[in-house]
Amino acid sequence: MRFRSMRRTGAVMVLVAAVAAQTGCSGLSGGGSGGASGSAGATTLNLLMVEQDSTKELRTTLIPQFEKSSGIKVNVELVPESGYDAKLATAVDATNGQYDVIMTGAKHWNTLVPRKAIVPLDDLAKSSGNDQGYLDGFPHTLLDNIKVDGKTYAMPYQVGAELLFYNKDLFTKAGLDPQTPPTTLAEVVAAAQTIKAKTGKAGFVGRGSREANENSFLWLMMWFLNGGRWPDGADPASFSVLTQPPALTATKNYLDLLGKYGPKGVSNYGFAEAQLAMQQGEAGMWLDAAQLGPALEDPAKSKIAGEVGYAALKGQGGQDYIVGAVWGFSVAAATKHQQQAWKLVQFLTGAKTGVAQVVSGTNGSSGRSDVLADPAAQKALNPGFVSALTEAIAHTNPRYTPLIPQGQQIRGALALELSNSLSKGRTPEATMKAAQAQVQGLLK
Amino acid sequence: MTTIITTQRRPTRSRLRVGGDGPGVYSALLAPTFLLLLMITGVPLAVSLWTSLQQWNRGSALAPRFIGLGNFTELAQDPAFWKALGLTAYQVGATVILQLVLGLAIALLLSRSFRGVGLLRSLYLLPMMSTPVVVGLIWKMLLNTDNGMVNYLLGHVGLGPVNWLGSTTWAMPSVVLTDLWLSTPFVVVILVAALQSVPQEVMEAAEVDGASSWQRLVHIVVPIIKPMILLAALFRTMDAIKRFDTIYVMTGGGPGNATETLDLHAFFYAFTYLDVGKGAAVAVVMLALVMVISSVLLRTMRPR
Repeated sequence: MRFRSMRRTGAVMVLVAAVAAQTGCSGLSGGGSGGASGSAGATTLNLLMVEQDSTKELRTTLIPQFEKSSGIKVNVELVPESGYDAKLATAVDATNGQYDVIMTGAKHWNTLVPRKAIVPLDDLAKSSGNDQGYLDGFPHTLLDNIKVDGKTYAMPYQVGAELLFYNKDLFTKAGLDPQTPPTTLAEVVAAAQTIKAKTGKAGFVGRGSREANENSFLWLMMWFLNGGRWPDGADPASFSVLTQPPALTATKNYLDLLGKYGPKGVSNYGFAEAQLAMQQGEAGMWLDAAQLGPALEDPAKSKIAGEVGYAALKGQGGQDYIVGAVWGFSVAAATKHQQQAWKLVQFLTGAKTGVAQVVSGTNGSSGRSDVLADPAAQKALNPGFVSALTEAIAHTNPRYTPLIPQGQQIRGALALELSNSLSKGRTPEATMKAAQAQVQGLLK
Repeated sequence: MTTIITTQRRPTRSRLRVGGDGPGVYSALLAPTFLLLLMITGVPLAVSLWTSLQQWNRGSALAPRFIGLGNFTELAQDPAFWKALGLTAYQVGATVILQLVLGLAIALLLSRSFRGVGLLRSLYLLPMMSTPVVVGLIWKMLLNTDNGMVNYLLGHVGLGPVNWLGSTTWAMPSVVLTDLWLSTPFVVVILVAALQSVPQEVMEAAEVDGASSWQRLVHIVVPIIKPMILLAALFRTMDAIKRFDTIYVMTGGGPGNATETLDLHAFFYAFTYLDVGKGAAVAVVMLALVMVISSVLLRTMRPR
């Protein structure tokens, strides 16, 4: 009996050991927590990306092509944007080799660079040369604008430069000329007022919700157009920018456009609700990131397909007046396969990938100018959209979140006070005074 | 009969005697479970407590620094924290009280015998089985100011559109309404079971003595099922304090901070601003709050 029991116990132990060994092996082959790994000559890279239509397509269609041509295996992890900041904060640092290539936005560089979690790409780019015009395909102004301390930490993949989308039909009904859209924010306000008065529809729609600081994205665009910019460094005195004229004018524009001429429930609108209002023909104009525009032209989803106009607004305070949410790909400092990781970055941000995604409709705002100039891409996109986006990218400024550790909190303070004012009807002065007080408190 | 019982017990005793049946054996048998529980509850709790005593921003290049009660002192001086605490009290108080009142009313209805009551009881459990995030999204669509079903129906009776989730006046009542729909069935389940235990003869005796329905409810039914009411209150209070999903999905804490309860306040600190030290401090305050309220309710439930 005892022998049989021992034998049974032994068998269980062997089984447990086998399972443990199997788990360990699969962890290695998948990259697991050990990050990039090699087995039998093949390299495995772990790639972390924000979940969106374009990255889903990368995972299912384009990355397999890269794996086939390069012999490098890529494990892809997609995380929703709402939880992405937290994921980067907890899963990526100088010593954690969980990922080799990471999708990063301008708002992340102020935290990832000081933590030495990502590496400068300039030397890698130099060593690989200008393969097939890889580097020349990016607008040089964009490459200059995304540098941190003079170095490039991410290659642009998607530029969410803010564009004005407008409903040509509502413009005509309001007696406005759809061929000459507004070019400044003041003209947008005037047009919104006219549309509301003449058609009864919302003259303007945009992000009013404070969820994930969405409303501050629109306000920052208006602030940049009015000449506002964040200062360099974290000196509390230099951050007294929110009570100055550009901020006050931007707040007045914001509250007028959304509060007076926007839909009734706009204070709870994120980009999805704003997009829907445009698609339903319920709003005359919408200011938001370029990649959201192509969905307005989809006849299956939009009542205004074929009636959409596009414009890049002009601003003050220099040439970098368009807020642009630049997403790019960075190489993790902890990777053991820097060259292979760089190769993957080149593939993800290359012209071929860019054109394929424009044609499939998943990424209408590539960070490359040669993609927008490609005949196949131009055939797939509205010419007005291409023209407006090309102009907007030339004036894109990705530094719309202060590049200091309190940057997100400052955005949060702005979002909170804008949301308060939109629902309570406070003056621009009271709004910015409250926001400024919070910012000063954060910088103490 | 007695013999059988003795026969059944013997092997158990003899097995215990093999290794002895002293406290050492019991401890050894309990140890794995205890250690597992310690790992999955005690360790995270200790880490949370330790984190709450650190100045630690994941967005900063600086290493965590021990600051004692610094985070708690800052919270005490922060008006936003006190507002979040007040909103939590409002949200918890309103949902729990309304759920108990509504839950009792519905339980009284469903504990009667009539045709289709079984089906009605099953249907009424459906909200409880729904995922809170999905419920939040559905209610967000229903309460949409411009395209929502609720305003559409209100329009048919001549009432103007209400900015349910976008106005500081209506946002919190809307959030409370959603939780009423979602969690009242839980209270109903407990109270229907409790009502089955009310002795029928007592009710009949009261009826013979001329007690009205209201008097029977207040003086007989409620005192008898009081422990179960308190149990439901305890569960619902603990759940309401840590309610996050539906509020986050419906309003994200807004407009302004009109629906930013302590849970969302902690979330914003830890996962939006990456200030994990302060986020942990808010979580510790919540834990203390839950413990105090639970112990008060448990004391009330204790038979005197």
